[in-house]
Amino acid sequence: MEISKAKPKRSLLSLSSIVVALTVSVVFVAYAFYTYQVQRDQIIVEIIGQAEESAARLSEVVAPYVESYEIHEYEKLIQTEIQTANHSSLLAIVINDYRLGKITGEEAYITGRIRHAPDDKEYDPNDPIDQALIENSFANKSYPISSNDNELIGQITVYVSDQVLRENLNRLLVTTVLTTAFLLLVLTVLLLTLLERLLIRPLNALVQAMSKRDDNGIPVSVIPDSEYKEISVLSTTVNDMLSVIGKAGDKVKREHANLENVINGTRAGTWYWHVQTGETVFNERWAEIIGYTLDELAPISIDTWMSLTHPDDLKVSGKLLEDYFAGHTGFYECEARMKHKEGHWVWVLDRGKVAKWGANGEPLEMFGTHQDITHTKNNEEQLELAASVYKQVHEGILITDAQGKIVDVNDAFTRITGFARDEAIGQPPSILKSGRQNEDFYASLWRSLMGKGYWSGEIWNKRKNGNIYPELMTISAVKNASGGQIHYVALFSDITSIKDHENQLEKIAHYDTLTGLPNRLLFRDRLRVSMTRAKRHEQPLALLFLDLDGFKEVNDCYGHDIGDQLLVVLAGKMSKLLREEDTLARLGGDEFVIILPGIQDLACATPIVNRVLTTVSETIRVDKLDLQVSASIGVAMYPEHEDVDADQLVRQADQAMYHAKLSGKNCFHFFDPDQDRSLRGLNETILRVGEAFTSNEFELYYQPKVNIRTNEIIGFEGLIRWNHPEEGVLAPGAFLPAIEGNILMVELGEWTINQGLQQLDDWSQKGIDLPISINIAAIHLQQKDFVSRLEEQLKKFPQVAPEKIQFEVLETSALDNVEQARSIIKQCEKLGIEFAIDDFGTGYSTLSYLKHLPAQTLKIDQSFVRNMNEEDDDRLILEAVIGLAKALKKQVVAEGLEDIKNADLLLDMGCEIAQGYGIARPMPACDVPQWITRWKSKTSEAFCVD
Amino acid sequence: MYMKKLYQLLSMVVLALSCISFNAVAEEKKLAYIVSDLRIPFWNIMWKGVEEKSKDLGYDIQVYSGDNSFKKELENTMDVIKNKVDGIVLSPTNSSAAVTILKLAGKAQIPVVISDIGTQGGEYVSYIESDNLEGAYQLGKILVHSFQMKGWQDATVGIVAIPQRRKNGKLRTIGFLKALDEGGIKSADIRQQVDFSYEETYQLSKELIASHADLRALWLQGSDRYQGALDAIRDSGREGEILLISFDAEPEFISMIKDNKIIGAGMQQPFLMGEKAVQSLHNHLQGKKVAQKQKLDVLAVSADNIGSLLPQIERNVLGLHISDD
Repeated sequence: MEISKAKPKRSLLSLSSIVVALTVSVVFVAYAFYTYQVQRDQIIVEIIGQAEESAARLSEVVAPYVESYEIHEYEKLIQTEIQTANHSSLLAIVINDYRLGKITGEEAYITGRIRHAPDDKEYDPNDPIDQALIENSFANKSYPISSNDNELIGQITVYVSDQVLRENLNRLLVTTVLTTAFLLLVLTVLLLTLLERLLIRPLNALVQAMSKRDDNGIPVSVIPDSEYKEISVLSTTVNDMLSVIGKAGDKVKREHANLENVINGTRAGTWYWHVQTGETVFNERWAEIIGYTLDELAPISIDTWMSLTHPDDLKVSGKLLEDYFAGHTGFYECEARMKHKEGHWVWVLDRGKVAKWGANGEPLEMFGTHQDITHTKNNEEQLELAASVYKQVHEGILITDAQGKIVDVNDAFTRITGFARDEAIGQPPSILKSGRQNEDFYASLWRSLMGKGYWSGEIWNKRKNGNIYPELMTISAVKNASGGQIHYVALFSDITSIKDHENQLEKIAHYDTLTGLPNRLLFRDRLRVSMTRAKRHEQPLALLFLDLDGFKEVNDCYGHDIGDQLLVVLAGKMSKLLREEDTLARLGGDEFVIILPGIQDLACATPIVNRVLTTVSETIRVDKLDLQVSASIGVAMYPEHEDVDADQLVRQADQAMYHAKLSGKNCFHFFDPDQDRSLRGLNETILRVGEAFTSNEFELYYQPKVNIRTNEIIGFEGLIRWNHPEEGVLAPGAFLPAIEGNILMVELGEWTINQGLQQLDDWSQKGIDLPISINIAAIHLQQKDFVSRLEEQLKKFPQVAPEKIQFEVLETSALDNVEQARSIIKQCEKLGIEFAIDDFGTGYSTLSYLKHLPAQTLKIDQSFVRNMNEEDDDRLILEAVIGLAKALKKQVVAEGLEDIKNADLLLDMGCEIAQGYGIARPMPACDVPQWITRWKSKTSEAFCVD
Repeated sequence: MYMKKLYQLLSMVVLALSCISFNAVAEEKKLAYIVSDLRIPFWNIMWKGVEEKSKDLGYDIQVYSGDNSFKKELENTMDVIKNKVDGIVLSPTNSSAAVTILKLAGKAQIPVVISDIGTQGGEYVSYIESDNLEGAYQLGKILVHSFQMKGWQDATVGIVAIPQRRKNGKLRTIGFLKALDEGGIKSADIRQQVDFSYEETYQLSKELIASHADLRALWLQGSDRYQGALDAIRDSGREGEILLISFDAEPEFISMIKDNKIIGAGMQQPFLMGEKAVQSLHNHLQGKKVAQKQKLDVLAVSADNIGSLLPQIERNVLGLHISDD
């Protein structure tokens, strides 16, 4: 910038030109002057010499002509002489011819030539001009003309002109001046050309190369080398200097770039502040932090900062600056909030340092940065919050390093464990180890920690005072950003109270409330565990299924309380017989199971089983009563040849127990594998039933129910038949037991309902207005959506009145869950559908249960009806059952009336409605109209006979 | 030779007569004839022409012969000037000497008419000269004609010339060669005379004949040594084979041309020139305008035209009618 303001520089070429021109001029003028003088003298000598020489020579040459009077001949000679080109200095040649003078009567005949520039003429002695020229001649030379006889016959005089001399000198002067000027010009041009080519041009090239400069004014081009040593040295030196400057510049640029990268990398805003003037410069990032561009903030001054900074922080900043300027601090650093363009506050870390101090120690220029620390601030707040949580939380927190040393614990930790923070830090978490968990537990815990990064579960730990307590603990492996593991954090809570409560719950869930023995649930778990161990260790176990004989009677005779007490005593007695590893459980009622691990074979089991039988059959005193029951025990071994699961094993034992019962009770029976195979045949049947379903092999048969008093047809029971492609028509007893409890029963039930509805619809069109009862399996009835699905089916047959449908359920299934059964039955009744209890008398129904059942009809099991003539017991039961039904205000239907002749007997007992082979066998739907017709005609005939 | 003697004799007679006539017309205007050498017949015949015409015009005429001497000629000139003549007819010894004479006469304000020879400078009234160029050209045509008559092909001509630095010598050569060129005849060589002697003419002719086999003619630019050429032809054994032709003439040429010894001659007319000079001077003195240069024919005489030209030859060339007086 300073260069451009300097006064214009003189051109080296112009100056050189002037100097060269002046120098050459002086030299040439001096040389010309000298040359002029020399040549002038030389000309004078030459002129006089010419006169001398011409006079001398002509005096010789003209002599013969003078002598022979050939005047014109010598006149021609002197004319030739004066006209000779290099005789220009000759002014006149005059001959005094004495001989002719004698003839003409004069002293001499005067003739000659005289120059009247530019020509010459014959000399006339009487011409005043000629005379004047002669008189003013510069010089003259005279020579005598002699004859051969040396007689003086004439004189020749040669005059030279000063005018010619002057002309010569003038010409010389002009020539000299022109020559000088020409040489001056040539030499000057030559010198300047050389100067320009040899010096100025290389210098210009140098200057031109140097004129291409970067922003810093450093030439960017390489200075061209020159063929001349001096310029070459100059350009090489300059290039070396430029190289050094360039490298230094590059270094500065690199450092500057590095600095910029650092600034950009740290995303720092930068500021410059002239403390005295208030002049301030920010970078773009400074503005960007608070949502602006620099243009938007213009004009920028220290006020920009002040206006955007939170007033509170501005005060702090001012104080910190004062401290810094006063030398109390080594630098200025302040956290301040600045108003973001969008209105919120942004935290910045404002740092700076004075770069230039005044003479009196006052700050002049200051540089600094702004760092957006909003995120950090937020983190700090979160950390504070976290720290607060850490401190306040009820859960104990334990933090270890990667090596497993405790690095921190919270207050809750101390409260729960009793270890103070200082006591815990540096210790391994094993100070809390209770010893309750085995190595497997810890191995599993570490596997989870390593694999999933966390472990969560319950653990038993020990307090400082030695108390062992349960914890619900979550351990997390906390990794840093690079994935390296730094800490483990364990969060735990003392769950002693929860555990206690849970234990109670578990007790309730897993133990029989009456006897305190494991219930069915716990038994099942233990059985599975035992089976697993048995198989693993090849130590078979024996499963005993025990059913008390005569316990029902105790209950019936002395009430449930006594029964219950009996059970408690028996349970205790049996428990005492068993080893610690054995499990005695109560499945319900008077059913018990015993798991005996480590029983090699049946023989080994037998003594124990016998002891149990003996113990159970002992008389027991309860509430001042001596009671005695016995037990039927089924025994199943595991593992046997074929693998079974826990349920199957129980069923095997149950099956064996049943055999023991059949064998006369108070005995035991070992499970028979052949029976198992038949069971498996059932399973195959289930599969086959499923297939038959899809193949449409089922058909609903109808068996009429008749009022045996009036012969009125009351309705039909829908009975399923399987049109087996190989085995012919199969009755339900041939396949239903196999699918008992299977979901197929639900499907089959729905199919049956649908068939019944379809048939009712069909019949209504044919004028047959009779209801149909349909058997509903327990599992079907227990379906939660039973009612809703039933409603859907009814909707499909709007012509059919729901009252035409009656459901028959087994007594056992109704009693299984009497509350649920009640609810469903009630809902169905609302739809108009009645229920009947099927096979009544075969279950465990109690009167109170029956009373609560909303079923309208009781169907007495055919086993009672069939044998009513032969068995007194059955007849008594039948009578009791019919009486009971009546007492309960239920309608009674007798099943299994195989001979119509027995109808009177039933009527006597008060049962009017019956069904059975005696009336009609179940028939396909197509046969029903014909049968009705036949039945009506037959009964009318009978009446007629009667 | 006869003619020359005759000229010398006549000259002396004329000189004596002129002195007489000078005295007779002295009170009238005086003229002077300054001549280089009256002993030479040519100038003598010219003097006859001057004298006769001067008398015709009533002038007192006096002749001053320089006898071929520059000094005498200058002395004559000064004498004439002292005599205060009214006009001068000048036949100078050479053209250079004429310049000084004209200068001296000029100073004395005497008009001069130059008859033959000419001058290298100076002022004069008129210059009477023979037409050498045309005369030589016509002479050349006579030779060409002769060659054609003889049927000579590829024949060349040898030239024995007067000094070619003289103006009349140059004009004669140019005119002659022009005619030869037109006639398709080449000149073999040219040799210049120096001393005008018989021996010189003989020798030059002999050399030309010897060195050019096809040479069939010799041309003499001056007539007085024609015998040398004839002798050379004869001595070369080429008599009859080589023709001789000459500028100027001798009195015997009339018969020799007729006899074909010389096939042609260029003849000046000195008598007529003298008359012309005086007439011109007279005209000048009368205040009439006079042409500064006047040319007179040179008669090209051959056997063919000599008959018709003879009276003109005898008067104007030979001045013979004077003897008749």
